[in-house]
Amino acid sequence: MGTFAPAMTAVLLISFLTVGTPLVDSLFQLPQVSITALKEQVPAERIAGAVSTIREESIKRDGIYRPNSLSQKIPGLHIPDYGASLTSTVYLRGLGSRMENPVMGLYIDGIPVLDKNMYDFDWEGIASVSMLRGPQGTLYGRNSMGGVLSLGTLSPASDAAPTFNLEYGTANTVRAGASFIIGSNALSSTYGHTDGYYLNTFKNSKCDPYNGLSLRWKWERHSGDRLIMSNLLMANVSREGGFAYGQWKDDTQYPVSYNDESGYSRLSLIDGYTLKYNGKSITTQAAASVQILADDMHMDQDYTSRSVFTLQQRQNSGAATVELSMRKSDTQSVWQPQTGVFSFFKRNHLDAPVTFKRDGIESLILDNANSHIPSSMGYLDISDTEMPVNSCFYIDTWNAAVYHESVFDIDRWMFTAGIRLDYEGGKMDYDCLARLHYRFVPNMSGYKELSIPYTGTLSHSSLEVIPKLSVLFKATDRVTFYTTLSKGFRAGGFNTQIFSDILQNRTMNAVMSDLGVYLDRPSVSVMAHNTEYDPETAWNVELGTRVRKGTFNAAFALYRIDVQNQQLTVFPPGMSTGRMMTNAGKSLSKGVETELGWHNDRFRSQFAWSWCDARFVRFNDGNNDYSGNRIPYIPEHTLNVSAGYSLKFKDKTVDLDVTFGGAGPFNWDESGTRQEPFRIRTGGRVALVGSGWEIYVRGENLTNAKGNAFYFKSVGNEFFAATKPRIIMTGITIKL
Amino acid sequence: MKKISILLLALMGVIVSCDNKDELDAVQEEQKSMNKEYLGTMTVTFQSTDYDTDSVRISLTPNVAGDSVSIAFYQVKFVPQMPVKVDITVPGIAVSKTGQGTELMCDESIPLSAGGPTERYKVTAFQGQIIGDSISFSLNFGTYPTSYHGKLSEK
Repeated sequence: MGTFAPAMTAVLLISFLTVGTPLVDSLFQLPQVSITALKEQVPAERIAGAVSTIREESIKRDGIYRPNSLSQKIPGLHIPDYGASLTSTVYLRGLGSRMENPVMGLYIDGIPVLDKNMYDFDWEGIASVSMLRGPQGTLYGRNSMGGVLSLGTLSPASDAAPTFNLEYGTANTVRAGASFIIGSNALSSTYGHTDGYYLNTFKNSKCDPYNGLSLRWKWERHSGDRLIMSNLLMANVSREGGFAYGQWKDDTQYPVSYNDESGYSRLSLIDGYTLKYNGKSITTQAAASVQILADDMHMDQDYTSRSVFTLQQRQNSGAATVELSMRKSDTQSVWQPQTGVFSFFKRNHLDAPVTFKRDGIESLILDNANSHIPSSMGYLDISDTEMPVNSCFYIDTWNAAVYHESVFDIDRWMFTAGIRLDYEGGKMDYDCLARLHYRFVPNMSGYKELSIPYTGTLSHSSLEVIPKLSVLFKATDRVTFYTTLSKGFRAGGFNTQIFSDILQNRTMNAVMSDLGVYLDRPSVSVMAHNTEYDPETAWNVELGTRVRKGTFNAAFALYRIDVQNQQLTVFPPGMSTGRMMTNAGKSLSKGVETELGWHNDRFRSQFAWSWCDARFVRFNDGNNDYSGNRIPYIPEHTLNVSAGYSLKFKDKTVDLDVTFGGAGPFNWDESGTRQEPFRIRTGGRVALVGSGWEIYVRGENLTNAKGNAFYFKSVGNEFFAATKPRIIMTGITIKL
Repeated sequence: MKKISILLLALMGVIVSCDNKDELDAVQEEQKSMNKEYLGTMTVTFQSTDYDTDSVRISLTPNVAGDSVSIAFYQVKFVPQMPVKVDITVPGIAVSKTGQGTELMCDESIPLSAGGPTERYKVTAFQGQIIGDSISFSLNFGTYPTSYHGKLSEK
């Protein structure tokens, strides 16, 4: 970081406290949403923690149609755009990992989205975006240790005009959306298509085409002054390519070139029913949801033109959530308590066969086995052209939690104390089978079939106690200071990915045992029970300030997060080619976050910056000790600066907007041998705005800056995913 | 008369079957007595050096006739430098009773290993004996002169 961060911090602090721009309106002002998206008892500007909000017009203007687009616009938030729609890897405040549970909770109209595979969807009809940064475990429970992203959908109670939007641009990308209100119903729909941005040179075709349709229907009814009922139905169906990964050898990055099918199909359905009753003394809110996901991922897992191995991951999951909370109706009272209960049950049927193809059978299995057998004895051969390793899982997860939070609003001080008891249990039935035909040459005259089943049941449970304490001091009408001690956790689970590796090893052991040949090395010690991992917990200490003066808003936060039982991928002991999630480490994140915003009727500007130093306090992956090293994939800085100006004519306006943003530097691996520098990407937008219509051209990565969004190792090879190239879109929006 | 004849035939049948059963029982008893496991030390001579391996488990499995046994060696290395351990079975070892115990003898046998016959380790000059709960024998595994001394082990 050098002197950059402290100097910038000092300049910004001074600028907050000395600014004297005229009062207009507030950046924190949210569009009208009738069911509160956030759970807090107090409005966003009075929450004793870091809160970012994105205004509805910014969502449209900045082309924020997916969660990835929020990256850097919210300080410290990094959602790299790679893989496919199921990827949704979220990094925030030095937390996050590629695999398993996310560190950011997603709520839509107060309904939690349980499955990370459903995070990436089209945002047509999203009216408000709020992000609570830092652990939010007390009110939001599991998977909110980095923060909570809360989306509010278009309310039928609003006066929003019917809106139609059509965009076309680079890579034949089309996006057509519509939002309108009919009586008590708000409807939104989007169709999206792209030919794709990355060429698979092996197939000479784009590897990441996308076709998707999303529908959102919200029904809302106000019964008298006290009762609000709402039902939100969201459906998404999409089919896409993806996994545009090229090989990185030495210092050369090669284009995407793989031979096997890769892609992702998804059908997701969420229906959430919310009921809010504003009683004379108590306001009760109940929310229940049903969430269904059916998806299918195919991946050429060697990402090369060789037929090594492929992975299919097919999920059919169903979940139900229910939450009931009660709070005092009098929001002006000194004591504002809130008590709630939450529960969910989820069942997931996951089929994840790994198929070793001929090149893989030879290079990963036979070469490995034969390298340990003296050639004078003979050699092992497998006749199969494809060797499937089938893994089938039935995973049940259940959760029950009770929480309470009390806010004491005393003059200029606001004290908050809360606690949550969160129980979570899980059970997994696994049914795996590998089958092959082998022969030991020259001893055996023919091939012998061998089946290796592996079945069983695992279960685990955990109880988390999640307290929270915070103090907010309102120094003046414009300036508040706060400090918070909060805790969050990321749920534990089962590491299903490693099962193919376990099966592969068990298969080779079974073959050798059947032959009566024993390799002179340690036997595989990874078994099914090693695949369980516990919750990861984070304690956050935070100090912050917010300044509001008219349309000028500034926020500044300092934080320190201690992570215990960190879920990290390690090399399993014994012989293995894969990596597995385990509670292997401790880490510490320290950081600074800043947001600035100001606008008047012609000019608008936003600034978001964060610095984060996230390091392992203790981490040994089985091969190396990385204690003290930077945590990979976590950007040291995130930055987004945008400015816009509206040229007003008689009955038309020309909007000019420009954005500079970037994230980095990153370490791509634990040792820091591969790094990604901080890179600036430039975006812009020019719009001609009339009465009820708008024609615009917007661009992302206008300078066509090169860079990497992702890096990983697989079977000893290094791969990368390049960031998206320059994208130019032209569009029209009509408001009736 | 006819009834008496039938009874006699039936009685003869019972007597004959008793004779056969006795023979079968004797064979099975013999097989059972030979079907044993031993733990002991295997010594392999390689380039004029003797390599001892302790706790080598072997099992004897008699054939149906009870006149020969197969001897299976479990997880053995002939020399320390060998990168794998193997199970290896030497079939067709002739057994004969002597005054002191049982003599084991075989001029030549192709052992079974890694799923089939292994010419490379062709067994020659096998000779040994079982006396009480001790077994000892010597043989050539291919070019490796080998000897084994073991004690009866619980199977």
